[in-house]
Amino acid sequence: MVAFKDLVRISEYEWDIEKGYRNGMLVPVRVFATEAIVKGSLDDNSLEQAVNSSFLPGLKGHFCVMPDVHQGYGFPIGGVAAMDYESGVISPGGIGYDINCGVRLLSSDIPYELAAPLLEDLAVLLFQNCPSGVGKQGAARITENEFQKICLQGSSWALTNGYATPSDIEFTEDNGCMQGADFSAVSSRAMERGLAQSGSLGSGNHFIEVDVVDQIFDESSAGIMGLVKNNLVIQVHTGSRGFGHQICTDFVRDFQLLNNKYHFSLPDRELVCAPIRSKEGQKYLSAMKCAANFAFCNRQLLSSVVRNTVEEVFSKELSKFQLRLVYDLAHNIGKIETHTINGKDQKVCVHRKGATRAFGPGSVDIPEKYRRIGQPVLIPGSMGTASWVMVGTDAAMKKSFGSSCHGAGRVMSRTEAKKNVRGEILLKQLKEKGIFIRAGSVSGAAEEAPEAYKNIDLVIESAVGAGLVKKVAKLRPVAVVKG
Amino acid sequence: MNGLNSFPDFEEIPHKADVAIIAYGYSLPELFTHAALGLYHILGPTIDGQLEAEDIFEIQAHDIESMLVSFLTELLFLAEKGIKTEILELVIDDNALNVKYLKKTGQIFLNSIKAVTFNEMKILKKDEIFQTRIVFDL
Repeated sequence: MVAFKDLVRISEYEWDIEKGYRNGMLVPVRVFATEAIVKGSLDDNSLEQAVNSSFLPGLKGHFCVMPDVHQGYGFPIGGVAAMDYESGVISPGGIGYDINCGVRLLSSDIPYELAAPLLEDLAVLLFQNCPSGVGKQGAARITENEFQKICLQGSSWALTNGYATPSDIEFTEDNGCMQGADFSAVSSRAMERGLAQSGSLGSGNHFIEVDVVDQIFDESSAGIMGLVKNNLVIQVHTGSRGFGHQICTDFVRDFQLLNNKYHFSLPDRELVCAPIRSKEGQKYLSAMKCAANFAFCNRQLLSSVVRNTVEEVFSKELSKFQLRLVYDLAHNIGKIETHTINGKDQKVCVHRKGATRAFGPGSVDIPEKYRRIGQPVLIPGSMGTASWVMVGTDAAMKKSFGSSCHGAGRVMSRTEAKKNVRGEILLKQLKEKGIFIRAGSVSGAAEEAPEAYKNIDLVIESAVGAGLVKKVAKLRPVAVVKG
Repeated sequence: MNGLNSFPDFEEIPHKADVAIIAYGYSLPELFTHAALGLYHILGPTIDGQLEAEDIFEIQAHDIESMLVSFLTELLFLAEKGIKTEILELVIDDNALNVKYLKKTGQIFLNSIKAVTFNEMKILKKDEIFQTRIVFDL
């Protein structure tokens, strides 16, 4: 197990586990966190998993660990790795089962004071209207033919079919569609699972959350994003549901046979991989893109339901209002990107597992509107605590392949949370604080209790301290819907 | 609890983000059956329930861990379709697994599992008892 003495302090917010820590490591591990968070992460296997991940062929620079790190499987959650496109590998377990799990933020011009009396109704109706929970059927009934189109077109399918605006497409990462998806790479079982789940939230830590813009730290950037102090905003957090889970399952199973074929020696079977340029690697990439496009479209379909629900609740109070998409981003994804590494531009496959792209100002990969300020980075907190809107930086481009953290990160297992937290009491306490929760189950809410997560403000302090992101606004939750 | 040596069918072990169990069995089929019980324990109680009927499925795998992952993944797939299984017979023959089960349809599970992972999975025989760790992605 990694111990504190094994970490070399680079700065107040950066720590290295050097390449010589274990035979077989190809690059060092770089942890972006305060000393307290680093010490806390030694309680579980997360840094051990980061060391294991540093064995993957073709790694460049260092294996990055974000401050919301916690134990996962294969990669730790909060792991970022860049593999050389020509000689490196792609690892489905380094992207995760919930391919393109991500979050989007919608801004509004609805002031909190006007909304407050209706927030409980809003939570109830959002819960009713947005299908959630285990294997729940989605909001959109689609045929197999339409499903294939979703996999190839992503959010554009939603635009064509009346579930999106052109602006929604503009402000979604990759415009809501990863090019190069190939449906022939997808198993029939994956399609069967996905078909029933278009426009559904899912369970676990997925949510729809209504927040108030509580504090603004950067007036100019907030203005560009349309964030106004005291107005409501809405976050949607979900991914590719059973479709993505099945694609990852299929390829982790199939890639088990590749260790011998390609002479890989990996410390964890969950890290199985294929050379990016091989037929196996390209097939996974094509299937992964189908799941990513499905997830972009899924969040878009849910947004359409959210917009209709908000209109239903507020139409009597406000004659005209809009929910505008600030940004939609992925935090479980593999992307082919070009980064400057050791002074040279290199084409790499960046794996972000529980990590958010955080491109700095000037990047052509972010909407023109945001090019001067950097990419919006959305970092939701746990249920009942703040969320943060940030922007990516030049430093992130140099230090972490343009990446930052994606949330608070767990400190307590779900079992422990259920043991320590009474769901009914938690929901009552949150209601007394003015936060209305609608959850699929009371025990599910207990698993997601604020005390089960790190203090989001300390995670933000780490990411800002390391220079990966800059603060724009802090959001305060007022209504949460959980699957 | 199982047999004279009194070991549990499975036990839940700490895992920060997901859920992990260790499953035990005197034989590989028993280990698989107990792993299935562990999976249903995590999925939680079911609401409702309708027809019962016998059914079968078969899995091919290149090694025993892959077979266990595929077996549990199949049960998850059935759970997503509202089906809970009660294993009646489980036969492992080289690379093939044949499962006969009682199918209970119309089940709604309280919890969900995204996937069965290979993380830290290794089926070992220790003191005549097969055991393995299984991490489920939630």
